[in-house]
Amino acid sequence: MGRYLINRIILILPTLLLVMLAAFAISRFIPGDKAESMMALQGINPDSPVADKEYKRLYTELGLDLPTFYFSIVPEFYPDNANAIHNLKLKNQIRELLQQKCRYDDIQKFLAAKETLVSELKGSSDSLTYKLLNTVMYEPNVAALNTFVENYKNTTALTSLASWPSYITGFEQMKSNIAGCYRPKWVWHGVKNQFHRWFSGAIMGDFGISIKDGRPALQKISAALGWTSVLVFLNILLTVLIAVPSGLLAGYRAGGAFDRWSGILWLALYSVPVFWLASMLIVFFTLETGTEWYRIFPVPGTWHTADGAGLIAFLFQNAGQLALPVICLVANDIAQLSRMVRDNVVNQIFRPYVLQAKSKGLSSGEVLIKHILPNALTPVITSIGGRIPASLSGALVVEIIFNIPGMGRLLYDSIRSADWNVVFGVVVVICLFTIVFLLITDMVYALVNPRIRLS
Amino acid sequence: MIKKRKYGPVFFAKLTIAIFCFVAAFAPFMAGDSPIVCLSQGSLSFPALSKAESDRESSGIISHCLIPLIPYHPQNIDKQNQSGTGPFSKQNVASLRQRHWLGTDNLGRDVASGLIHGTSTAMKIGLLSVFVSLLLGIPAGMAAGYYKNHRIRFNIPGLLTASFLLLTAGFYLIYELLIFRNLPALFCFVFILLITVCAGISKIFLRKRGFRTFYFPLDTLLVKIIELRKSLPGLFILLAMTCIFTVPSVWNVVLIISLLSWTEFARYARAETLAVSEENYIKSAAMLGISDAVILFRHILPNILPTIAVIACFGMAGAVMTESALSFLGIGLPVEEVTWGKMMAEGRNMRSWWLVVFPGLAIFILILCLSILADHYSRTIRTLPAAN
Repeated sequence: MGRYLINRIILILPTLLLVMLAAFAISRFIPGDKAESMMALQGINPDSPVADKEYKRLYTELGLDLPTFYFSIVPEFYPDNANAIHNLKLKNQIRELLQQKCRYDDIQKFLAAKETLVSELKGSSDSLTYKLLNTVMYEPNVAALNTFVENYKNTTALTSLASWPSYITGFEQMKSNIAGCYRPKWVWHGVKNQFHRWFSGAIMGDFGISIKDGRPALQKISAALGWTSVLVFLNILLTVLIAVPSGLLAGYRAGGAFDRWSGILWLALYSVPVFWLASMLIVFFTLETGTEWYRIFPVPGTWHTADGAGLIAFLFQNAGQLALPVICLVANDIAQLSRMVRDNVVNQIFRPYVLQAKSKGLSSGEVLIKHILPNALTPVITSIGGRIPASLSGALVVEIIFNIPGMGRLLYDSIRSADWNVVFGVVVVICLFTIVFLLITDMVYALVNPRIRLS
Repeated sequence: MIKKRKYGPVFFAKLTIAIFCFVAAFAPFMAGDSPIVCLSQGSLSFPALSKAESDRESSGIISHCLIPLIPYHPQNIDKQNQSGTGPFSKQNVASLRQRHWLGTDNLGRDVASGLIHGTSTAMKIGLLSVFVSLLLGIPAGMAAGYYKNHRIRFNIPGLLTASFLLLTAGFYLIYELLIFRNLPALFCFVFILLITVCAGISKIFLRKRGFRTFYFPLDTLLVKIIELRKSLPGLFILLAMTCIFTVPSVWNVVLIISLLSWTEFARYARAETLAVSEENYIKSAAMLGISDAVILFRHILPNILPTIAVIACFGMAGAVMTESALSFLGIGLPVEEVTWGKMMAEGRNMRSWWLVVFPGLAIFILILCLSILADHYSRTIRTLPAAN
C-alpha cells in the first residue's frame, strides 16, 4: 500500500509540472501588454511625460524584462533577450523590423540614427519636415522606408541636416544585411527568467495580484474554492443518495418496469444540457416575473451570509438558493452512476454467495443490503472520483448562471476583465484539486479492494 | 432476442439527424428576408444565394417570387414586435404569413429564424471538430494499439539525429510560419522532407550493428496523455484557452474543442485496435510480409469503423454541447454568429420562456438522437472500453 501510494504521488509531480508549463505557455500567448494594462489601472495617461518612466518601472517590477524561459532558441540575428527592451514604442518597431529579418545590431544603429534625426527634424522649421516626421518616426516597413529614402535622398532641405547621412547609411546597412538564410541560436538564460519567477511563486501559492482590485490572487481563489467544494460535495452526496438506491432496485429487478422507466428518465436528464436546465428552472421557478404558485425559489444571487455561523447553519439558511444549482448538477450525474450500480448488481445477483445467503433464510432486502451492496459499490468509488472533472465543469456553468462566487464564476469574471494572474491561478489550483481528489479516490479504492494492491 | 423493428428509435434518430443536417445546409433558403427565386422583368434571379447586401434587396419590378418559409433573417429587427413578443401573445404583423411563430427576442429578431441559422452553426462546429479530432485521435490510437510498447525500436544515434532534425524543422516551421509569415507551402514541404530524412537516417542507424536498441513505449505514452487529459476539468481549460485569440472565430473554437477531445477518440481507437490486432488474420498478414501501413489501413481500419462511428456520435454530441455552453457564456464565438446558446442566454436574462425552451429543445433532441445512434452502434462492437 505504501509503495503504491508513493508511486502514485511520484506520478503526480510531472503531471502538475506539465499543467503549470501549459498554463504559463498560454499566459504568454495572450495578446496585450501587461505593463500597459497595469499603467491603465494605476491611472497613468500613456501620453503624459512620465509615461515612459512609469512604463519602465512597471515593466521591470512585473519581471517582464526577464527572458521568458530557461533557454531560448532564436534566429541568429535576434537579440539574446528581446524582452529587455522596455520602451513601448521602440519595442513594437524593433519587433516589426526583426520580423523583416533585419539584424538586431543594425536595427540598434539605425534607430539611434533615427532618434537624432527626429530631434533635428522637430527642431527645424521647414514645412517639408512636418510631412516627413511621421514617416521617419512610425514607418516600420523596410520596403516603404526604402522608397522614402530613394525619394528624398538628395532633397536640399534634408541634406542640410547633420544627421541625414548617418540615417541613410544606417538604413542602407540594415537593408543590405537582411538575413536570407539563418541559423538557430541557442541562448541559456539561467534561473533569472519569467517562468522560474512565476513557478517558484506559484509553488508557494503566490500567483501575483489581481489587476481588478489589487488583492492577492490566491486570496480570491481560496475564497472561491470553498464555494465550489461545497457545490461539488453536495452534488456528489445527493447523486450517490439517489443513484445508488435507484441502481440497486433497477438491478435487483432487472428488466422490470422500474428498471426501464428509471433508465429512460435518467438518460433523458443526462441528455439535458446543464445550462438549459438551469435556464428553464430560473425562468419558470424563481420569483421575479410572476406570482404563480410554482415560483417558489428566490432570485439567484441573494445570499444570507451570517458571520460566525458554521457551514451547516449556512447551508440551511441558503437551502433555497442552493437547491436549484444542486438540482441542475445532480440531474446530469445520476444516469452514469445508477447505470453502473445496476450493472454491478446484475453481475452479482447470480453469484453463489447470493444463493447461499438466500438459502440461509435472509430476506431479499437483507441480501441486497448486506451482501450485494458492498460488492456492487466498490467500483463506484473510482467512478465518483472520475466524475470530479466533469462535475467541476458543470459547476462552472451553474456558478455563472446562478451567480455563485465559486471558481467558475471567478474564472469567468477574470477572463471578462482580463485579470490574467487570477485566471491562471484558477486553472492551476483547479487542476491540482482534481488530481489530488483522483488520488484520494484511488487510495480509498485500493483500501477497499485488496486485489488492487498487487498491481 | 429483441425483435428488430424497422421504425424503431434508431430509425427516428437517423431521420432527425438527417433533418438537422438538411436544415443546417439549407438554412438561408428556409429562413431569410430575401426571396429564393425571383422573376423580375422576365429574368430569373436567386437573391438568397448571393452574399452581397445590395443584391438581397433587389430593386425593380418583381412579378413572381418565392419567399422562404420564415420570412425573416435572424439579424432582422422587427420594430413592431420588440421587447420579446411571445409565440401566443398578440403580434403586430401584416398577415399570418408574417407571424413570428416562435416569438421574438428583445430587439425584435425572429426566434424561429435564429433557431434555423443556429442549427447550421452548431452542425458546422460539431462536424468540423469531430473531423479534426478524428484526424488527430484515430492515427494516434491505432499506432499505439498496433505498435504497442515493443514494436518500434530505436538506438541512441538514430534517436539523436531524428530529434535534432525534428527540432530544427520545428524551429524553422514556427519562425517562418508564425513570425516571418512567408512561404508556408515551401516550409511545410521542408518539414515533410526533414521527417522523411529522419526516418531514413534512423533506419540506416538501426541496420548498423553495435548500437544497443531500445523499444519506444508508444502505448504507455498515449495512455499517460489520455490519463492526463481525463484528470483535467475540460471547460476550465477551454475557457482559459479561448483567451489566446484576439479575434473570436468558429475555427478557434473547433481547434480548441478538438485539442481537448482527441484523446477520447484515441482511447477508443487504441482499445479496438489492440483487440483486432490479436486476430489471426492480422497475424497471418504480418507473417506474409505485408507492410504495416497496409495492415493498418486495409485490414485494421475497416474493422474498427463501428467504434469510430460510436465515438464520432459521442464526440459530436459533446462538441455541440460545448459550443452551446460557450456561446451561452458569450465567450469564444464571434458576435455575428447566430447560436442556440446565445438565444438561451438572452432568454434567461429576459425571463422569456420561448427563448429558452426552443433552442434548448433543439440541443436536447440533437444530443438525444446522437446518443441513441451511438448506443445502437456500440451494440455491434465486441470490445468497448468500460465507461467509467
